[in-house]
Amino acid sequence: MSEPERAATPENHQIVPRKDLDFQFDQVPKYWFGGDPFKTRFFDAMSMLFPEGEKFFIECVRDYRDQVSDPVMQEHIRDFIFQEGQHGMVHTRFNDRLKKQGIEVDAITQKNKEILAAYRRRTPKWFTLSLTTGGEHMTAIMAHNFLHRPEIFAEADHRMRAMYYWHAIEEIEHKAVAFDVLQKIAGANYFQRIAGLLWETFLFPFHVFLVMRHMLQVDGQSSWKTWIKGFWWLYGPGGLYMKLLPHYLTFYLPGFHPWRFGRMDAMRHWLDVYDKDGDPIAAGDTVARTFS
Amino acid sequence: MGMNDATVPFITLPNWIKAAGYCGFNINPIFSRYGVEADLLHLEDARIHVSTLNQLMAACVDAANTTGRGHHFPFILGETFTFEYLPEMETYINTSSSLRDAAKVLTWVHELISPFVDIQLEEDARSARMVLVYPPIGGLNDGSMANLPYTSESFFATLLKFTRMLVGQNTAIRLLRFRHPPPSYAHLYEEFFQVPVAFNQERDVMELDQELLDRPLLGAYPDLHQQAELLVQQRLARQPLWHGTAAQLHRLYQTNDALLAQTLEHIADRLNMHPRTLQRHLSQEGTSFGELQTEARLRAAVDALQHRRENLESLSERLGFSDRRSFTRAFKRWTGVSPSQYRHSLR
Repeated sequence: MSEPERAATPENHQIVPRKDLDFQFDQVPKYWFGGDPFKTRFFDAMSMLFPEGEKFFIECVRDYRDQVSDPVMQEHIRDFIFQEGQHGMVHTRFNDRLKKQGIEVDAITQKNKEILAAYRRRTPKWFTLSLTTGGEHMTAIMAHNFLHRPEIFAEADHRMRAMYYWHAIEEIEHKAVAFDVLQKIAGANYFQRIAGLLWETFLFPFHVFLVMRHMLQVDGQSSWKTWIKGFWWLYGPGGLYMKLLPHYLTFYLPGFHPWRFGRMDAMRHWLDVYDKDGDPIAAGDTVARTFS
Repeated sequence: MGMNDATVPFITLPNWIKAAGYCGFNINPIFSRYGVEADLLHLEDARIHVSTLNQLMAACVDAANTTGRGHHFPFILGETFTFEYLPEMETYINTSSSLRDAAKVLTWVHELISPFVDIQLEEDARSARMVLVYPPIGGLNDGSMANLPYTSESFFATLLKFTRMLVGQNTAIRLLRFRHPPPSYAHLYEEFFQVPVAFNQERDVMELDQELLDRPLLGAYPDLHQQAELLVQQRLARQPLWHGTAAQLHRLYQTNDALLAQTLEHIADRLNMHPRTLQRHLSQEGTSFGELQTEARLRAAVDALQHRRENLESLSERLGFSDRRSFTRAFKRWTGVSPSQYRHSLR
């Protein structure tokens, strides 16, 4: 199975700042992913790491902002920061709900913040930008796959699906920003480019599992059976991570550019519906219906 | 762009009006005299020439003196300062879980409000120091902001106010150090700050107990704090870029340590400029390549001494000093202590 390949940045590409989105979190059930604690907490754990992660990405791109003379790239950076800021705020709102379920949101966020601050202090700027670029690649491949493989979110609550679809759309819109800054402004070579992604490939899932362990313990669901079944869902044949693998690997191709890979049709569909009445839930429902 | 053209943000305009009222005079005629246009609709974009800002300050000091209320204007300006038009910054501060956490605002203040002052946090086992640094960037290094006592007076008034608000009125602020000699109104200092004061010092520094930095604060409110920070980040992204060659060079050094040891020719090439052009631009902005390079090297040195274990030989070589002796000399001129003393004080 190979990824479809395309030429370059789409013409007249725009990154659109959207705000004031309502996903009705108060009506979402606790185990919103098919009633399954492992699957739900997998996404919840990522959600907990997002706000600090997004702040980190913003700062790492902003390091280079003043060296950018191209006005188009400047605008892309500004919109990238706006979108990441919105994601952070929406996820913070969702994470508030987790707090009410007894999850130690504040303590975990604080720990995450300290780890990321240490990277900012102790590693060179090109490396933190490389981490950002790697992180953006991971979110972009999740985004493309979530939108085009409706079976992934088939069991999920449709409001949560809407939130992840919205997040996915915006991740795709700005997927090349950090990459372009790393290549063109920081002048990174091949090894500097892949260093961040390699590092995160091992550390990011590890952090997610650590957070999940805490969550499942709070839930009283942390049995061996849950974990084994869950890992099978992620790493088994046809598992979530296995579905992402081909697209993941494209990053290591020499001459890779984010716009060379990834289907775009579901995204256009989402934009058509969203642009008509500004309802992200309706847009998500339509995409899920159309592509199933 | 010559150095007299340098402008800085003037989002603090409402604070000036408030402070003038508190001191008992009307600031309207003073604004008119210096051609300051008060326009709340475009406050975020308002800018003012550095020279005008200095004249304004001097005029307000005089006006406050003649009212008979006995207030020193910079003290009041600093003390009554709030982030009125930057509400998320105020929220960020008030929801901080520690003073260290709140101190992140200092870098944003530098970017959004006062490019002419950069407040840096230094610490060792016993004391923490908030140091006012006057970066020679964007043509502002004619010293006009750095040499007046008014800038440090008002900044310390604000820093003290927020520190006390967060950690309590009886905060153990140890000492305020000022670079300038005692002014004619020196007797007002201790009365106003309620802290021991020293003049004729190497740097402008506020010293406090190190343990205060991590003392948990009552107002901690992590999710609001997080959202406020994201809003600040969005605001920073809308900020106009620093213009000028000096700013460009400064940023280049900040993102790439390895360039610190490079020659003028190499750097000019990196900026797509002829070396002569680079030198001409920098001199028009009132600075020079050597000055900016030294400043960047010393900042990198302070950072490395704080956070890395690198030995001094390799550090001085990496930063491009000809040998360890010249590094030590330059560092001592800048901070008042030698690199090894500095590192030792952090242990």
